[in-house]
This record gives sequence, structure tokens and C-alpha cells, in this order.
Amino acid sequence: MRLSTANTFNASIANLQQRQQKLQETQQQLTSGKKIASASDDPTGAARAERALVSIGRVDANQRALEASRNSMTLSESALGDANELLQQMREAMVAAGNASYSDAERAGIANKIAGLRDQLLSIANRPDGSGGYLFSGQGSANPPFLDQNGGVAFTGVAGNIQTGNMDNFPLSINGEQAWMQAPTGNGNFETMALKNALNPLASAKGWIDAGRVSNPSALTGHNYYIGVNGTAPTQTYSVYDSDLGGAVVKTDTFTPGKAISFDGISTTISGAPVDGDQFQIKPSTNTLKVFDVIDRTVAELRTPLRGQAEISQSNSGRIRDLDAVMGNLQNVRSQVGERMNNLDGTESRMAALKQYSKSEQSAAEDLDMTQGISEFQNQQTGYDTALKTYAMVQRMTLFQYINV
Amino acid sequence: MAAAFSARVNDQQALGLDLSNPPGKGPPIFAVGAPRSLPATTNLRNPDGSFAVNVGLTINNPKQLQASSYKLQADPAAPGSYQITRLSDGLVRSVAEGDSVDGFKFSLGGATPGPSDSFLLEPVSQAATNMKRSLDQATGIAAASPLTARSEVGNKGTMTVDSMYAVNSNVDPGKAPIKIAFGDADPADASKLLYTLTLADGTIYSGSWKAGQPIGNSPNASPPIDLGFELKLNGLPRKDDQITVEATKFTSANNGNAKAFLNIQTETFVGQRLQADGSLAQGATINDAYASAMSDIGSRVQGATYLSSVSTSVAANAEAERSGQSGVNLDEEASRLMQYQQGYQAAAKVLQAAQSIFDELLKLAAR
Repeated sequence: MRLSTANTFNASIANLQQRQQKLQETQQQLTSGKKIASASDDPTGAARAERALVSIGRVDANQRALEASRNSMTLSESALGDANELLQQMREAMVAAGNASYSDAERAGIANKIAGLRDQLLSIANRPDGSGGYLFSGQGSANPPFLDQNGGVAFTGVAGNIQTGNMDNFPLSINGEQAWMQAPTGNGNFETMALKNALNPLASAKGWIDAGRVSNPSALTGHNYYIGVNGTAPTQTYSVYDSDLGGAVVKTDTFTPGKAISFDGISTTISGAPVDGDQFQIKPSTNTLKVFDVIDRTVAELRTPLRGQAEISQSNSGRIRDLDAVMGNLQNVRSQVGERMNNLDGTESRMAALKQYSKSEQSAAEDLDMTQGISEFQNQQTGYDTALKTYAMVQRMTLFQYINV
Repeated sequence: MAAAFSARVNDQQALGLDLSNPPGKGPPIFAVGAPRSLPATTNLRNPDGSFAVNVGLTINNPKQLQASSYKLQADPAAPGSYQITRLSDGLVRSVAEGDSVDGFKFSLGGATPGPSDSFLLEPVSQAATNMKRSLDQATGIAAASPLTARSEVGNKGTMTVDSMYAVNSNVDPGKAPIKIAFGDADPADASKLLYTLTLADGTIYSGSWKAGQPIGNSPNASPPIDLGFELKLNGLPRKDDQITVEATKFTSANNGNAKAFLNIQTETFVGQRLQADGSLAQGATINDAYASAMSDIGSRVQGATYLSSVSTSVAANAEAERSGQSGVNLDEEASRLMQYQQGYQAAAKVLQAAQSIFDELLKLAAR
């Protein structure tokens, strides 16, 4: 077959250009490190890489939410720790106030100390979270969530907490209502208190009732009870009435101050010197004990002058019991916060692993294997070099070289 | 995909509250190109040259939009109805004016189309090219949900509120506060709990709840509850536990609608198809739709590149053939040149010899 010279030249040029283009492509792959420059290089690989990229983006967004949550939880935990310190100081003051040799003036001094600590506690409850909100604002509050009003401190936010997070849920705030406003009253199961004398409504009880304890959990009924003391010392009797059953008498026995009174799974002790007609009430606990109400009541009672010994003992034991209850509630919330922070740590390491997996998916789909790339590049380089050399040699060979005409 | 995505985002945006003062419905974030219809040049024309019939398109259900253009003709078999051909796969359907086809409706204006008139309908072809952001202020992002839920103090169960956001325009903060109270186990299904939902005006709904099911959006239940919001709970409520749903008081701290936006990531709303039996085939999530669109284009380009290389080599062969027939090989020409040169010299030599013979003859004759 005859080869036209023009065709030969054209074919060589086309060949050279093709080699040059391949060389340039490989060079581009080497410089960018990716073997997929456009979707058409490997459509399924591109789709795989795209999905992996999406997963990495989601993990990043989740990571940001986790950081915000961790910040908030750390601040909340330290705030609760500070609050616990203050309440502990108040409790010590209360225990000191139980000293029988204290006079009204000394008790008023302790009341002032507690009132001062109360203000500090209020500022802890209203602590901001550094980004415009408040730590204990629950599901949101425009102003500081705890407002000191005429009737006591009120919570002006919305209960609950704000959650953030892309693939998980991380808390961004604490439910202030639950932490500061919803401690259980009494000892967690029931609350005891002294009432005015049934025969003489102006006189208060001359004995005091302790916080009581549960002796048999399965026998608890959750009803309201009254304990009435009848007779004069030393032959007194007591009767326990169940007001939810219409005043039915549950138990009646001789009364000895300081001896335990047990009924329906409840065991309580009345001490002091109660007189005929003294009444005490037992009612089921509700979750309505507010920290600031307890403190306000403590201060008010400590400042009340001219109280009897029984009243003082009842008031002290009752308020210490309430302080323990609110401290326990705050401690509960604090350990919940600690648990959530633990959870955040676990989630963080899990997400780091997920991101690592997605990155290696993406890399497997679109990254160039450097060794392979370099050897291919050198191969093509040699090939191009050879093509150029042979072209130069062949192009020189023409008949005119040998014809001297 | 662009049309479905922007419509979904704009819808959720309208269901939330933004940061304007007072908080209002969020304005739309995206604007896409409008659908268009093109008449064929052979359609009936008015005396002044404009087309007699024009077709208007409106999109009413972006989730069911398909990536295709359509051809509209009058149905010869049934006068008054029209034939729509989906050009991506050739599916022909007979519809009346005003029916919803693949997420859009068409309406005819002007005269009645003649039997040979046809129109090319493109509901989504302009959507992506003309997609732009139409919200400039960051305060317009509606991250707050119009309703907030909280569980009551006295609840004895382990239930907490997981998320609460609006899902369709039936949501009405005027119906709040809404109280939801749980009761006994459902006699029909022991794993469900009965609950009653009381609106602010006293209307009572009842339903049964199973762990993982949202409350407030069950239009197919009996009786239907279609309040426009979805409340999801964690944990397990006990009998007499209550939840109160109120209008959001502090919108600057609420992120309920933002969580709804996050759920769009995993929602399959692109390209849902209505099957022949009336059921709805699942669409794709936005990421899957994008990845498959990208790989679709990639494989088409790959195919085109391959075809182009095939036709390049076919062209090269044809060129070699042609130039083999009609081209010139310089070596061949050079050697032929020398050959004809020598032949010419030889012929010239013959002439020279003939001439000298004639000269001799004439010399002989001249004596």
C-alpha cells in the first residue's frame, strides 16, 4: 500500500499530540493528588467520593454542636458546684442556730448571714452562658430567668432544655425549673409539720415532730394523716387519723415523747412536751420545694423573736431537712450534667472514628496512588521521548538526501 | 432536584418564626426559575401572528416533579382531554385540564387547541439555571418553632420532649395551650398508650401512641389528628403524665424549626413517583439525588468521550485510505522524477542521434 508523505507527517503529529495530552493528564493528576478530576473520569468513584464528603460535612456540623454543648455543660457544672458550696455554708449556719443557748439577737445575726448568701445564690442561678443566653434558662428566657418578686423568686423561663446537634442530641441549657424549683418536699416520701393546737388555735404546738422515715415501703399509702395528742402528761395518748379515708383512726396508743410512732409504713417521733390538743400533719411529698423559698422562710423564721423552744426546734429541724432536700436536688442535677459531659466525650470519639472512616472512603475513591502515578508518568515520559526521537530520525530520511541534482 | 429542594426549604421556613420584631413567618430563602411552555411553530396562530393558544404551568407538589420535559397534545380519542407524553421515558397519559401530573398542573388560555397543535412543557428546565438566594438578612432565618412543649412537674414516667416543630400549614398557635394526657395501654395493641389531646377551645382528640411515633400529625388515623406539628418523645410516659404545648414565648432561644431543617437531610422528597396503583414510590434524599445526577452526567460524558475516540480512529483510517488513493509520497515522486528525467534524457539522446544521422544523409545527398 502506498503511504502519502502528507499522511505520514499528519499521523506522526497526531500520535505525538496524543502522547503529549496523556502526559499532561498524568502530570495534572500528580500535582493535584487526585485521580478523578471530573465526574467523567470515574462516575461511580465520583458518586462514592461525594457521599463520603457529605458524611464528613455532617460529622463536622455535629462536632460544632458538641463543642457548644460541652461549653455550656462545663459552665453549668461549675455553677452548680458553686451553688452547693453556698448552700453548705448556709447549712452550717443553720446547724449553729440550733444551739439552745443562742438568743434572738444571735439568731438574727445568723439570719443576716444567710440573707447575704442568698443574693450570691441568686446571681449563680442567673449566670449567663457567655453567648447571650443563661445557663438555667430551660427552653428560653429573654431576661435573667430567676426574678426576685414580691412573692419570692419566680422562674420566668420555659421548663425543659434546648437540644442541638445534627446526628445526635446535645443539651445546650439546663432546666432551671427542675434544678431550683422542683425539689421534693419533706423527706422525699412525706412531709411532716406541726399545726396549731386544736383546742387553742392561737397556740402553737409544744412538741416538735421530726422528718420521719419510711419503715416499710410496701405499706405506704400516700394519704394525708393527722396525729393528735390527747390528755395531759404523763398519761397521754395519740391517735393517727387518715384524712383521705374521712378521718378514720389508723392507730392509737399511749404517747411517750421521743418514742417512735409507726403506722402504714411511716415511722416518726414527736419530742418535747406536747399538750392536749396538739396536732401534727403528715402529707405526701410533692415536687414543689423551691430553693429560694426555703432560704426566705429560714431567714424569716430566724428573725422571728420570742418563739418557744419547741417552735425553734421544729423550725430548725424542718428547715435543715428542706435545705438537705434542695441540696440533694441540685446535686442530682449536677451528676446528670456530669453524665452528659461523659456522654459528650464518648460521642466525640465515636464521631472522630466516623469522620476517619468517611475520609478514607473518599480517599479510596478519588485519591491517586502516588507510586502508581509516578511510574505511569515516567513510562509516558519515556514513550514521548522515544516518539520524538524516532520522528526526528525518520523525517530526515528522504530520497533527496542522496540525490545530488 | 433544585425545584424540590428550594420548595421544601421555603415551606419549612414559612412554618417557623424568624427574628423580626414581632416574630413572623420566615420569608422564602430560595427562588428558582419559573416553568415554561413552548408552542410548536405549526400551531394555530391569530391573525396578528401570535399563537392562538397558550399553556400556563403551575407547580403544586414539588416532591413529585420528575426530571423531564413533556409534550402536550389534544387527545384524538377523547375530545376535551389531552395526551401528555413524558419525554424521558415515553410514558403517555391522558389527562384533563387542571389535573395534577407529576407535581404540576397545566391550564389552557386563549382558544381551544386544534387537533394538530402540540406544546413542549418544561416545568423544571429553568429551575436550576435561574436558582438564586432571595433572602439577604440573617434575621429572616426562621429557626424558632411556633410551638414549644414541656412535660409537667408531677410526671411519674421517664418521658422527656425530644423535638417539637411544625410540619404543615395547619399549625395554629391560636389553639395553644394544648394539653396532652396519657392514659392506659391501648386495648387493641398492648404496646401502645392511649392519650387525649385537649385544645385551648376545649376540643378533645384521642389517639394511641407508640414509642417513636410523633404526636399531632396523623391525618390517616381514626379519628384524624391534623394539627400541623410533630411532637417526638423520648422515654416512656405513665398513666396521668401530661405534656403542655404552648406558643413559643422566647423565639430568640428556640431552635425547633432549625432541627426540622436538619431533618430535610434524610427526607426522601426528590422525585417521588405516583405508581399505577396509586401508591407513592419513595423518592431520593437530596444527597443521593445529587450524587446520582453527578454520576449520571459523568457516565454520559464517559460514553461520549469513548464514542469520540472511536470516531477519531475511524476518521484517521478513512483519511489514510483517501490519501493512500490520492496523496503523494515524496520518495516515490523523487524516484519517478529521476526515472522520467533519465527517460527524457534517453529520448533526447535518440533525437540527437536521429538528427546527426539526418545531417550525414543530407551531406551525402548534397554532393
